[in-house]
Amino acid sequence: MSERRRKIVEAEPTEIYDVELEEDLLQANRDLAEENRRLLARCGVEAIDIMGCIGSGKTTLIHQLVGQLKGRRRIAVFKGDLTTTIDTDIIARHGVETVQINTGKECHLDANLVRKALAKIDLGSIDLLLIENVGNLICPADFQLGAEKRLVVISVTEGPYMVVKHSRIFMDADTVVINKLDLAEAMKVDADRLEEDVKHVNSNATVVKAICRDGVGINTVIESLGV
Amino acid sequence: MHEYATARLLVETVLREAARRSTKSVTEVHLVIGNLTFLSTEQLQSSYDLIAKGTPVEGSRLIVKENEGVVECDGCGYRGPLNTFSDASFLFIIPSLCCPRCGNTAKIVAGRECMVTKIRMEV
Repeated sequence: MSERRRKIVEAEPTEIYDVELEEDLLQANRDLAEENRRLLARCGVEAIDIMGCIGSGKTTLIHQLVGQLKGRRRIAVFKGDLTTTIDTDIIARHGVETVQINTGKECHLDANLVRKALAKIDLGSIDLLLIENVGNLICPADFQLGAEKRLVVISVTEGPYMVVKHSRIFMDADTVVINKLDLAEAMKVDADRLEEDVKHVNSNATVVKAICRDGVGINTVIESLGV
Repeated sequence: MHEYATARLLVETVLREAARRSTKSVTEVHLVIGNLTFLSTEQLQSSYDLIAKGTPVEGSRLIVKENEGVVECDGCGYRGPLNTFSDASFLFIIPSLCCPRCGNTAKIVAGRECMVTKIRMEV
């Protein structure tokens, strides 16, 4: 932080000092995210941060997106997980570049981890980067990665209150996918109500109802992301 | 869930400031947290106490003030608190980006900070 922003009130010697600061502890991540965003823009790479609960269908969505887009886009996929390479192995079968980001114990990706992953790939050889965040609807809300767009996947099997319970993550979402629509009836979950909840929080977000496993709604997701 | 990491950054920041002026001990640290972050004051407090142990920060009071979120609307120029919607079946009120004045989607301009504002120390 710059010296001119630091205001100091000095007390008598051997007494008490009050140091006034304006130092944001979350700013370091925001600065790194901004660096990532600039780097990606310079290289002509569109990046999408894909967030959602464990089991909501993030990997299946990515699997379908890559399947549809690989003919016309040069894609790389980052996969955030605590551990294992199970998900990257699935995506790598498409022949696209993948980087597994294992956070160990952290519950979200942050801009620094993404920066490290960016250093592992040739940004000149891709034009679309899909980043799958760690399965969690809480912490990723506080940590921007530098992606241009943010997508949140929820599924009807998570119950009817996912949006109202985790409203903050939807504030930054450009696209929200309501997945596993075929199970809505069995789960007695009203997908229209979930859509309404998203619109209440963020009317700018595009909501797509999908059955990712079967490829239903994938084209609409692609359209909404403009990729 | 990232309160521990945030508390570590906080203690590091305070120790850095303390070291600049050969401080005997830190007595108070003031922190402002935006209510649109996912930082829990209680967890932050316990992590802070734990990390501060054995340093000049140990035993200091962490005073946390919560900042209300503020949105700004490009459509009508509104700047102020977020709109909220609630339902009798919910225990809390849900913030919305919908502009309270014109209904357009507004953007967040405050509420996501976690700011160290003041450190009181004995020299």
